[in-house]
Amino acid sequence: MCRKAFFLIFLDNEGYHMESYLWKIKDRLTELIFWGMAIAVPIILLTFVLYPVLRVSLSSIYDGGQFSLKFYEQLFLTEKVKLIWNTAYLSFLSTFFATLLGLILALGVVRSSWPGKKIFNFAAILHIISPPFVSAIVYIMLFGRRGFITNTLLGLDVNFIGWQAVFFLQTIGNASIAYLIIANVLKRLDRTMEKSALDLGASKARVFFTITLPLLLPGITAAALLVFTNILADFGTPILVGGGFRVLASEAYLQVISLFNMGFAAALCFILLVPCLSIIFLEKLILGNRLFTSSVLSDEGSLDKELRFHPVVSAALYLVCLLFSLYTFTHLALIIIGTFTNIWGYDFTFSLRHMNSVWAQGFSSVKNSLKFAVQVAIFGPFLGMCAAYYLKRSRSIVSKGFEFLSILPYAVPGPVMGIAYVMSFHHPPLMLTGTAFIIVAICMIRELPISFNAGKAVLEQVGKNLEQASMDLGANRWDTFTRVVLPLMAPAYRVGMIHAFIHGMITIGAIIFLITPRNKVLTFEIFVAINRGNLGEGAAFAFILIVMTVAGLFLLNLPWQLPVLWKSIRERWLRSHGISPEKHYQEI
Amino acid sequence: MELVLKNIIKKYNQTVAVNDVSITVPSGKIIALVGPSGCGKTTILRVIAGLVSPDEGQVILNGRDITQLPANQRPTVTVFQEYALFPHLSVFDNIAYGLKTRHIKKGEIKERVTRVLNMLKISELKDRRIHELSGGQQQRVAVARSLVINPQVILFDEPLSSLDAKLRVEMREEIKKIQRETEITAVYVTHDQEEALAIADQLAVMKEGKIEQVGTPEEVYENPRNSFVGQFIGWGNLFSGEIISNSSDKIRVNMWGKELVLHSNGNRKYTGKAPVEIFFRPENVIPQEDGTWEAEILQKFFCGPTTRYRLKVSGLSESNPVLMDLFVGETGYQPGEKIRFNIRSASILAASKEKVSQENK
Repeated sequence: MCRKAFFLIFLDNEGYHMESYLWKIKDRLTELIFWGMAIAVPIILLTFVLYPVLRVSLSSIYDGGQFSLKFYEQLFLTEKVKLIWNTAYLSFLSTFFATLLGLILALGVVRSSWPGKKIFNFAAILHIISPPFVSAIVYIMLFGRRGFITNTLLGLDVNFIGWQAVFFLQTIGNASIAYLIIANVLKRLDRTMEKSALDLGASKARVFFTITLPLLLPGITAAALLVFTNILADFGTPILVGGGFRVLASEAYLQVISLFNMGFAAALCFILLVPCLSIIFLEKLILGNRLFTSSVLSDEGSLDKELRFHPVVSAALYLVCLLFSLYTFTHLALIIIGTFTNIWGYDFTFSLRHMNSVWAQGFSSVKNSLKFAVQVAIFGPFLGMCAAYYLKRSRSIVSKGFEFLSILPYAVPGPVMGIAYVMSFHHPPLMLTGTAFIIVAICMIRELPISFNAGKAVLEQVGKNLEQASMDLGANRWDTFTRVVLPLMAPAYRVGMIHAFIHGMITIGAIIFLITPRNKVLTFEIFVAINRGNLGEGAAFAFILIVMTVAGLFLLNLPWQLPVLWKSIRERWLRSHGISPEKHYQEI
Repeated sequence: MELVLKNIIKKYNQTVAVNDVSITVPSGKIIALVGPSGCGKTTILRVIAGLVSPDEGQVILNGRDITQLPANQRPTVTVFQEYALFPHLSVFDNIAYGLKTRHIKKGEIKERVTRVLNMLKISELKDRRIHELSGGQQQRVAVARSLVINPQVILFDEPLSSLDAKLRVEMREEIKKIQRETEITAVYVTHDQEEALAIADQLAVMKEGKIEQVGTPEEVYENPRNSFVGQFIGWGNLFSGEIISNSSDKIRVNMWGKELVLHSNGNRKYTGKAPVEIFFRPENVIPQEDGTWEAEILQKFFCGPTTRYRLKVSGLSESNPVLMDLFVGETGYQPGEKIRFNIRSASILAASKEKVSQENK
């Protein structure tokens, strides 16, 4: 109204010119906002991605300001060289079996008519949202020196720890990640190819090995590469159940935390960085454009969707899935039981003492975990979306470089990133260690590749057309951004947010080096509790963390679920009052 | 609103997309830009819309130079090839989008949207989401969204290319009808020559960034200026011949060893013994018992209203057949039959191949 009156009174005949003048001012302003964001994105990428990675790499070849290969000599020319072999064979072994297990689960859930396949899916997801070290706690509870199976049931006095235990836990833990990736590709696989192969007379088994598996191979490769990076980054499992077995990541952790030997830790980090960075290029090289998926998700013909193997093979595969699910649910049950058991292994009576002590000393950690996770969930995807929006259009070398920086954190193992941050932000002018900000920042950066890719995918799909259409219909850049681009990115934002929240809740590798007494989080408390040998307390912390993660995910989903819920309630109400909803909407 | 393009040039890196194009679209008329893909027709559309700025030249609307005006301030609107409908908005909100950005009152928005919904017969779809619509319905929504903002110029970018054949014909008739009624100046880009002929008041045939010929559809069809236009618009036979003589009203040409007489229309350009390109339409090949040339029917294709024949003219190879169209009701032939035929009317397109290339320079 005001606006209109203004035009009527002052502009009269010159209204047209004045209005276009206002257009210009508004455009300038929005241009300014866009420019501000366009400058912020590269600065953030340079400061929080490139600088730390360079810093940690360079620190490994400098000793007290002098160029020196001393740390590498320590690594390669002493018995420490064993670390490299340990890391290598453990990673390959765990990756292979985790991916295989993931593949079996995916085939079982997506392409079978097995009973209980929904439960397998649920088990895998439960694994993904469960905090680190939960499997370690459960393992120790079952097979440790006072383990339920080894000691209580069998009366043995042994401790099943060592590299086999690490391998076992890593395989189980990463299978669910492999499963999710492979299942996703499997669901989108173009089934017409299988159909035409069947049509050409191939047997089902032949179709599986000559069509399905090769088509799936890029998905399997992607899963394996991700699992491999994950395992390289895993320092907790070897420390907790590895006994004397050490790998690069756990050694780097010990060097920083107990010896504060930053130079040597940097060298270990760099050695870890090499395979991880090569994976980025390997992924481009192997995968490239080879993800053969169809955009049309057809679920018709679910009959021939089923893969048939020899009954014995089928039974074996089913057993594997069943055991995996059983083990996962045992996890959850044992965590709950452990939380409320007086002293595990000695006194199996009900007790609230772990809960009490956790509430007494750990309340601030609960608050911190939640606070950080929410902050990461809100700001992380925003950064990713902005980066995707700014980097997608330009084809220049510079923006390609920034795009690389946006996905780089995906390949940098968590502990390496954490150590890099400690080295980079320990001195003025960027004296950030000890602050809550740096913890949120590292989580945001670690989540950046996911939201960046989600945003990029949406923008690629949307194309430039819609933005052009909006401008063509008379909208300015700001209207176009807020009314077209942002709403279209909402689903990607949601994906990024859920990921970021889970990550913020359960992350440990990167932030463990940045945590100060004031900023303790739940995952850290779990780690400390197990290291002290206090399983009950660890279980209690883990239990709280799981409950909070599930509740948080539920709350995060509400903004998307509520409108749907509201609509259905409303329609039911309208119907119960004898009004047809369609008619009602038309009247509105 | 008269739309004038003056000497538009647009280069992408080294390739020239639009090379010195000038067009005038009279107010309220529809001009079709037609040409093979990559001929620059869509670039011209983008230039008019303001989505691409030309390297040189001017866009003048109703006497006002709008070359520098950004897209969102131009009184032009585009119907995009893939419709570019907003997937997150309902049909109603898609159509209302342009009005909302103009801060028009709610009541008026509703009134105007309802009017175009009715005009395009899609009122019952207004609460649907875009992905719930068929291709034809999406097309209607796209047209409605463009019409509702009362544009001075409406630009169609191959709007029917993703519809099936029958729907395409229906929609183009509807678009033409609406354009007539609203009298909005329109530019219609297509690579489909039949669509262009059907919809246009004026036709501009383009090739490699240049305009080859402008005229009414009838003019372009009947008197193509060169072999490209002739071959691109409709079907044509193109053969070489030799001038025998050129008098004030008749040109005599030697075709396949026989004499063909053409109207000269006062054209004295071609004299004595010059090799020329002769162009004639398949429907101008007339079978007659005392016809000048003899031919054998190679193949027959029944196309409904017409039947197409491929003829092997005596003395010519099979790989160089003459096309002949006969209408339903005329005597038909079977492959293998021998016939004699005349050519009713033909045009001389160029003196020779060398001259064609010289002309282009």
